[in-house]
Amino acid sequence: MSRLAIHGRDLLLDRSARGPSWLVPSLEVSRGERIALCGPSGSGKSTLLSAFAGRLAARRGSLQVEGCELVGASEAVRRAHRLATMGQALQDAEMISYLSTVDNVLLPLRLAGRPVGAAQRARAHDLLARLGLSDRQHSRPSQLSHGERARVAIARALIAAPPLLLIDEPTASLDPASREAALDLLFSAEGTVVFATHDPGLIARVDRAFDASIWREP
Amino acid sequence: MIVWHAAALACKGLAATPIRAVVVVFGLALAMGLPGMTVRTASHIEAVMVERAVRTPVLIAPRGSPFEVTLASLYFRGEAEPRVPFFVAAQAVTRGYGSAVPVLVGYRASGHPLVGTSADYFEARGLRPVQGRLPAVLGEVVVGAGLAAQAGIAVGDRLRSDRVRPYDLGTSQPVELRVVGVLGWSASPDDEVVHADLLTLRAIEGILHAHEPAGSEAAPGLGASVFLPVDLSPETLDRVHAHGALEELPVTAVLVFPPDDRRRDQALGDWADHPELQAVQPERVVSVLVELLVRVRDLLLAWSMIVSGCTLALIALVLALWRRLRERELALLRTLGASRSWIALLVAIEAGLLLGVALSLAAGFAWVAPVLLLGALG
Repeated sequence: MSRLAIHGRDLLLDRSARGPSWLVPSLEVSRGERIALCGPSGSGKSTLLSAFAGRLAARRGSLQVEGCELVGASEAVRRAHRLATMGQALQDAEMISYLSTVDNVLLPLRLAGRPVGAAQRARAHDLLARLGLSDRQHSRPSQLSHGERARVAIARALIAAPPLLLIDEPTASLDPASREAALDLLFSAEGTVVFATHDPGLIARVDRAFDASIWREP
Repeated sequence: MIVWHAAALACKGLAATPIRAVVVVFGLALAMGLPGMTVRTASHIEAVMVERAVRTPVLIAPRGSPFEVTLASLYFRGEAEPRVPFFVAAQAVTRGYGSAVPVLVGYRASGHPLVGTSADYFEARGLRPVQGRLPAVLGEVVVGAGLAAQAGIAVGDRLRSDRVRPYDLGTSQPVELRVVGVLGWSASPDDEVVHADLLTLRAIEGILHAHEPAGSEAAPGLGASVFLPVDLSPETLDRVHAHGALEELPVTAVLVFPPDDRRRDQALGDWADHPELQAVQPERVVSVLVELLVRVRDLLLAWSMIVSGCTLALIALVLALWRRLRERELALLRTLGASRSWIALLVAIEAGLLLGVALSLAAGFAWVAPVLLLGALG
């Protein structure tokens, strides 16, 4: 097994033909490392996370994530790989509207066809409790604030204990206490964690930080 | 495991929007069930009509169109002038054509159709009381199962005959009728009427009556006898009488039940040259009506299929909009890594649940529609 969780080389990314593009000559992230993609808004942090997750296909180059070459892989392969190896907390903290908080957290297990029993529910309850959401376990998304939904998204990313976590702006909508609880939980997770953030406090805690704007093509 | 998870999610999704799910299910059920309801209702009517006609091989009726008298005397629908002398029933029996039953219709009791006949009618139709007994004396009636259930009539209740001639106070008076039995369910027009002996109807007509002689206590100082309100209670029955020959009085029709085809044909031939009466084969009369019914059914079926098609198109539109509203949810599932097959399974299970419930309901609608519709129509 490679010691690298992410290995990119000569990676060319763009969201549309007329939009900006990013060229990443070389990027290596070791297993267990915590890194941050930082930079101002529009610098490409979320775009890079999308590429690592296989949601955005690179136009050329090579991108190996958890042992799978994503460039040139079919969408089905990328989706299956994403489900098997990654936990994601997206910036918009989207949730399924008709599911309770706990059921939203358990969603990745259901999608992967893994059992959802008492043990998994207990883990979901524990994650939510550690994120300060003990009293919101059975709430619907419409009853939650944006900050609460962001914490549910973090619990959802962690539920399957994946080897790679891709966390987009985890602290943007959190109060200081919630922020600390969320970061403590994420930093205690096993596996590799990639943050997209411009939170200086978070950047100070990671092993390495990259300014995504240096890869943006003029 | 994946199917189980997809099913769980599908159920939660449907349960979260119950009104939408119920509207779609009922819309689908009606769209799919309407043609079946039409066909089954028409088939049920046809079956009841044909069965009734087949079980009444010969009908002695006045000359003229046989439709009115057939509908009136077999199905108790519409009106037909009673022009068949009562003695024709006895004639048919004497000539060896089997049992013959007079039927007199066009009367009502407490607003319900009242049919006058003889005790043989119940035997010929296979009607048995499930409560009480059959009428034995004047003034007693037995009620069909459907009418008893619908109007809440039970043994021991009293009905009052409706006036035959409302503005002629001197002749017929309302007669109190005692319900002595409720017939078992027969899925025939007998379920919806009140049956009485023919003589009870003669009393309602005022032909059977009681009166006090002139100068008696009930009619002091009068020069003529006084009609009394017809009281058919057991204590006064011996005072009730008629003037003239009852067997000459007309009935609507005489139902003849020959024991075999030969005697049926003989009966049909016997009245072929009668100047005032004819022997009708109800099966032939009804076959003409059924032919008409089939045409109507086909027309209704065509209309119902058009309505169903439009409804299905509308539901497809609703489902397409529903799918669009759920695009964000499906996008999230894709983002988290759900495969195309997983999402397809989720959608298929949801659609399957809706369709399955709708199909069951449609089958149920088609099954009970004839009973409900015909019950509502009486």
